[in-house]
Amino acid sequence: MNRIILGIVLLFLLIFPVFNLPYLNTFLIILFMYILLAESYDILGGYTGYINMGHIAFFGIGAYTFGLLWNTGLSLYLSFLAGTLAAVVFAILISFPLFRLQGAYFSLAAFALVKLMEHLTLNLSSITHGSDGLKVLEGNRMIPMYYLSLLLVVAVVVVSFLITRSRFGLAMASVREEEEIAFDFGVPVQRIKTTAMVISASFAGLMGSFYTWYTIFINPSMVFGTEMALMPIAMAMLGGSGVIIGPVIGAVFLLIVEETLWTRFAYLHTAAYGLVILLVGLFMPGGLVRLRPVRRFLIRVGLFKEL
Amino acid sequence: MEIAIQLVIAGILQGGLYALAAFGLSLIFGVSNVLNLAHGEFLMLGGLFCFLIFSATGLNPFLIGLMILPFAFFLGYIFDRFLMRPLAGKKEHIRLMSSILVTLGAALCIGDVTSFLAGAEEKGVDYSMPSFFWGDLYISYLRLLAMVMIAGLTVGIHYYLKKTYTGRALRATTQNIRGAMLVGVDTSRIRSVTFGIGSMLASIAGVFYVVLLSISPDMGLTVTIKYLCIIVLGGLGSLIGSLVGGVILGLTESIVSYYNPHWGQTAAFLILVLILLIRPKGLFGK
Amino acid sequence: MLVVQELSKTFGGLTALSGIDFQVEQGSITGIIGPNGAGKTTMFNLISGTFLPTSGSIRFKGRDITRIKSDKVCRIGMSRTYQNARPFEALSVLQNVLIGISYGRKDRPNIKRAESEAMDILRFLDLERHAPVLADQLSPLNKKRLELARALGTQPELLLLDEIAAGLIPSETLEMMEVIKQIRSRGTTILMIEHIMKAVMDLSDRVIVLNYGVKIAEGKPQEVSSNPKVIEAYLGEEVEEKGEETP
Repeated sequence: MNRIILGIVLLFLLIFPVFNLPYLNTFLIILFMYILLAESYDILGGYTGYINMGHIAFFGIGAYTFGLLWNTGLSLYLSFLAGTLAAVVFAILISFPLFRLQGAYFSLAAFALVKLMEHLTLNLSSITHGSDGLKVLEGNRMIPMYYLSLLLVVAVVVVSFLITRSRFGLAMASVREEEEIAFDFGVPVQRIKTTAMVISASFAGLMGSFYTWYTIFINPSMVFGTEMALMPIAMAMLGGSGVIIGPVIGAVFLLIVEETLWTRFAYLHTAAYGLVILLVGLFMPGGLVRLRPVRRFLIRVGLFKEL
Repeated sequence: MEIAIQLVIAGILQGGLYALAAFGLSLIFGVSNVLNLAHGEFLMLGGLFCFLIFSATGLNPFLIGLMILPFAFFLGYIFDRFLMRPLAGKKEHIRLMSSILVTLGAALCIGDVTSFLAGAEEKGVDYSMPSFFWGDLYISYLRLLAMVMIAGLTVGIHYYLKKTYTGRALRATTQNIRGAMLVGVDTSRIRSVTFGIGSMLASIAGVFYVVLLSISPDMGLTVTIKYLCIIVLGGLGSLIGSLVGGVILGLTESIVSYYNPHWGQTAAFLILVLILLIRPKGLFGK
Repeated sequence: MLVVQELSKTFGGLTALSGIDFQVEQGSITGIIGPNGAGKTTMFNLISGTFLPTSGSIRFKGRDITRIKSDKVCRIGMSRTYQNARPFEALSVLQNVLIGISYGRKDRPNIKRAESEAMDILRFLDLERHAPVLADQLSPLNKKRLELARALGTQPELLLLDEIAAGLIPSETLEMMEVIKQIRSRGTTILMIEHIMKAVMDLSDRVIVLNYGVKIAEGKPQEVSSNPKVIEAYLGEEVEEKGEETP
């Protein structure tokens, strides 16, 4: 049953560009991007319980590294690779000091890093061009971007699925539930957390590279901005953190709500959007997918896989 | 030399202002263990109402600030009663998650409604006081007054927490919630009262903002993040921690900005991250 | 098997344990008793590598483990339960045991073998039908059993039990004691803490009594229970407890 549903959805998404609907196509690219950010955030946030409010830093570092290197004449694929690697290296470097912190301290220190990155890219204008932003070679890349981001979304979902079935995933969940006890039972806690962060960062870094390539122009607030940082996390929590399908549903839900509000209301759409986030946080602490009817339906079709 | 002193004074004033708002947030974090991303909105609202009443009546803005205090308290109290209390008693990382969603939602909502009703532009109260020279130093009465008031408030809060029943119950709840419950503290009520106090401190800071600097409806999240950083820097629930954290940030900003205005904020965040690398629980954390 | 020498631990200025010596023989059951605050759990945390001792040494299977951390100690062959049952709550009973099997041993069995081993352990502890249930839905007795199961998954040669009978009703305690006997008969050495003297006396080969961080007696259960120092330590506590009830 779940295979049939997934197959149909995937097939539809694969042939979608044939219909030649640029507006929806662009919308789907943005959607894929948010799904990817939310889902990759959740590899660390949902499975190990470390709420990484600095996740967007990996995206931004990927975006800037790609743009700067590609502009120097490096080949496209090597630039994509470099963007990903830069995010991974950053993740490894910050994981040692950051993982000494717990709970809200961890989240806030990670968030401070994003703000630091934003200010640094603004001020190191001899390299990054500051608030003027970074431009790369122009070109219409809607269709290739559509497929690349779809591919990346499929990849992150598959990786999440493999994680939930592995002993690595089990160890991640034990860290989330009782970190000290996991350590007493031989779980290499520090290594598990760093690995989770590296996987999470590599997807965000690659997506960041794609993003620069697609939009042609980026500036610090586009990739490190506060709302940009908080939205994917809100999506993951809203949909259901720690459930594979959760961040996907959260991203779809929130983006559709936002799009509807933007087109229906001339004013106050941000307020309405905030209200939706508030209500979900208040009444569905486990996220949309853990609501009883939703959960029952997802279990029946075999799409409720949690860790 | 005069410039150095001038910069230090400006930095301390700025830092004291930060500390005032940050301490409210720190209290809330200590007592309820939630991240209140809407704290900056209370600050903005405090400044906004001061601006509106000042524009209509021309009263002394600090007097207006005093008048709106009960409303700020009430607002914080009901915010906790209806939005935060339902989350109490959940597992820690679930509560952290829900508190992020609820307060982020509230912050977006308050910011947008305000900018719809009151306009999105920056607002400042045009209230000035004479300045004087002390030796070679140029000193503004307004800033001096602000500094004295902030110092007074800090001492006041310190004694409130040490001497009154509510203050002591509040500190007990921060240290050990079960223990506090066992000795008969109504911890739910203490949480709401703390939110009220936090909101009051934010609104006082808002008044200083609107008089000395300016406010705008979309400033909330930005200043909240800064205050969150300060309390992490100082260590949670510590009044002295917030004060030192705030002053470190304020001084860094004012001194670095003098040499290069763009790098002030960057240097502040850099120092924050460096301190956290060395002392993960903050300067005064245990 | 386990040799503890001159073991001391201070927290800040407070002495939790001072100069403790004792040995645990292979295949035996050793009980540690003592009133509240005697330093029993601190002792466990030192042996299992959760805390570092202030001074003294711990040898296990002839190897110095004084400064080895708990993850390695577990892989060397020592596992434990906790005073207040602390399973991984949002994981299933089976997954809880799998973590011990997958990470707590030197050999790293593949998932299939690990699962079949986990089911064997659950069967032994009568938890088999709860295998897919989330740990936080279990009854207190079953949570205690799950703690045992998780520890057994690491195939420990020495098992540390921290008040495994606490919070159980008498019939459940008896049942638990029976299980412990069976675990010993399979060749696992056991070191157990109990607050209640009676639970330990029937089971243990040797008993060690702690009071205020000092060893005040050691020997066969009968010898210890007639030791005047031990009686005094426990009587003192009873008086205190009664004193607390009066107002």
